[in-house]
Amino acid sequence: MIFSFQEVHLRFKNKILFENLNFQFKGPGVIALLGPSGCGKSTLIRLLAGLQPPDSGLVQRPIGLKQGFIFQESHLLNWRNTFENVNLSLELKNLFNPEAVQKALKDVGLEDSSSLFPQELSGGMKMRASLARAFVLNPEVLFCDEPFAALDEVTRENLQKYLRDYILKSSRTCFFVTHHLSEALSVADEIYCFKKRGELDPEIFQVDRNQDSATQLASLKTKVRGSFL
Amino acid sequence: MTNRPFLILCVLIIISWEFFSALGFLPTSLFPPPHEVFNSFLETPLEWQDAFLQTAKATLAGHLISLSFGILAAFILILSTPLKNAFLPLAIFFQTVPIIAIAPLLVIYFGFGLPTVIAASAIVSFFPVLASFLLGLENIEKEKLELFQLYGASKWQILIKLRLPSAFLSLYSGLKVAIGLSIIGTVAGEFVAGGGLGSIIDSARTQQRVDRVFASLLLLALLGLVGLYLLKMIFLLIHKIRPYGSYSEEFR
Repeated sequence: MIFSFQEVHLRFKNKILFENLNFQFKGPGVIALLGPSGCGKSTLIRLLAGLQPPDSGLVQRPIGLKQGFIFQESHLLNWRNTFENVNLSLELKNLFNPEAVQKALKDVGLEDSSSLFPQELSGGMKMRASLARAFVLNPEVLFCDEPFAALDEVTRENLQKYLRDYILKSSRTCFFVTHHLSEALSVADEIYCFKKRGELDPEIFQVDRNQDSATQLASLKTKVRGSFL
Repeated sequence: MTNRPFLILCVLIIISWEFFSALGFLPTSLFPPPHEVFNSFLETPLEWQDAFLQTAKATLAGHLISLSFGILAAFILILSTPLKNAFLPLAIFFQTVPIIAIAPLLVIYFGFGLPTVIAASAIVSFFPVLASFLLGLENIEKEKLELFQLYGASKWQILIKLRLPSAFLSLYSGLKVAIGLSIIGTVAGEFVAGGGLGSIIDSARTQQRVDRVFASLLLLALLGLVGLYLLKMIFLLIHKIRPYGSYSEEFR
C-alpha cells in the first residue's frame, strides 16, 4: 500500500505550508509523523486522508480504500449512546450489522457501556468509543491525529498497545500523528521526523523492536534535536 | 421550581406601590395602585376571560405558523446556497418593517378579526425562528462534518443526522424570542382588527382607564410566562428522550 506526494503545494492564509513536497509512504504497518507543533503534521495526514486537497500537485492513494479517522477529540455525538455512535459509520454507508458493533465495543472493553451517552463516559472511554467507531468498518488504513494526547499516561499506553496490535494483526496501515517521542516509538514501525514547517525531506527513523527502548529514545532524540522548543 | 427571590420582589413591589399610592407619591391616574388593577378584573371577569383566551389562541396559532414556515424555510435555505442568498434579505426586510405599519394592510387582505391578528402574530415571529434555526443548522463543528464526509455521508444524511440535532439549542433560543414577538404581533393585530386584549387596551386608552391597560399588560405578561414555561417543558421532554441539549446548563 503506497501513499505518495508529488510536487504538492499548499498554502495556508497566504503563507506557504508545503512547497514541492515529494515523498512516499509504504504500508502495511504503523507510520508515525513526528514533529513540533505547527510543522504541518495534521495537514499532511488530512491530505493523505483526502480531507483536504492540495493547491497543486498530486496526493496518490490506493483507489477504493476503506479508511477510518481518529481525531484528538472523540467527536462523539452527544445525542447518541455509545452503541449508536459506534454504529454511525455503518449507518452512513447504509449497512446494518449490530453484531459487528457489539464486537467492536467488546474489543475496546465498552460492551457494558453501550447504552451510556458520551457525557456519561470518561475521556478514555470516549476515545475507545472513537476507536471502535473507526474499527467497525474494518478499515484498510487508519489516520490518527494525536488521538491519545488528552488522556492520562496509563490509558494512553493501553490504547497505544491496543492500536498497534489491531493494525499488525491484519496487515493494515496506520498513519499516526504525534509530538511525543516515546509515543512514536511505542506505536510505530517507522517514524518520519519533521523538524520544521514544510520539511521537504523528513528524516526517517526505523524502529527496532529488538533494541531496548531507552537506547532508541536517545537515538530518536538525537535525530530531532533542536526542532522542539 | 419556585423562584423565591422573584416572588419576594413581586410582593415587595406590590406593597411599595400600594404604600406610595396611598401616601400620594404616585399619581393614581397614571399609575393605578394594584388593588384598582385587581378590581378592574372583578368588574367584568367574563370579558377578561374571553379577551385573554382570544389573544392566547391567536398567539398560539401565529406562533405555530411561524414555527412551521420558519423551520421549513431554514431546511430549504440550508440545502441551497443560491436560494439562501436570494431569500434571506427578504426575510430580514420583513423583520425590519414595523408590524404596526403592516397591520392595516393585513386588514385589507384578511379583513377584521382573527385571521388578521394571526397573520400579524406569524409575520413578527417568523424571522427569529428562521434565523436561529438556520444558524443552528449551519454552525456545526468542522471535525464532526469531516467525520461524516469521511464516511461518505450524503447531504441529506448530514442534514438529518448531524445538522438537525445540532440545531436543537439554537431553535430553542429562537422560539423563546419568537413567543414574545408573537404576543406583540397579536396585540398589534388586535389594535387594528379588533378582539382580544389588544382591543381592551385600545378602548381603555380612549376612556383613560389606565387600570384596564395595566390589567391587560399583566395578562399579556402572564401569557408570555405560560408560553415560555410550556416551551421549556416541551424541550425538556424531547431532551429526556434524546439528550440534544446536553451542551446547555439549562438542560442538565
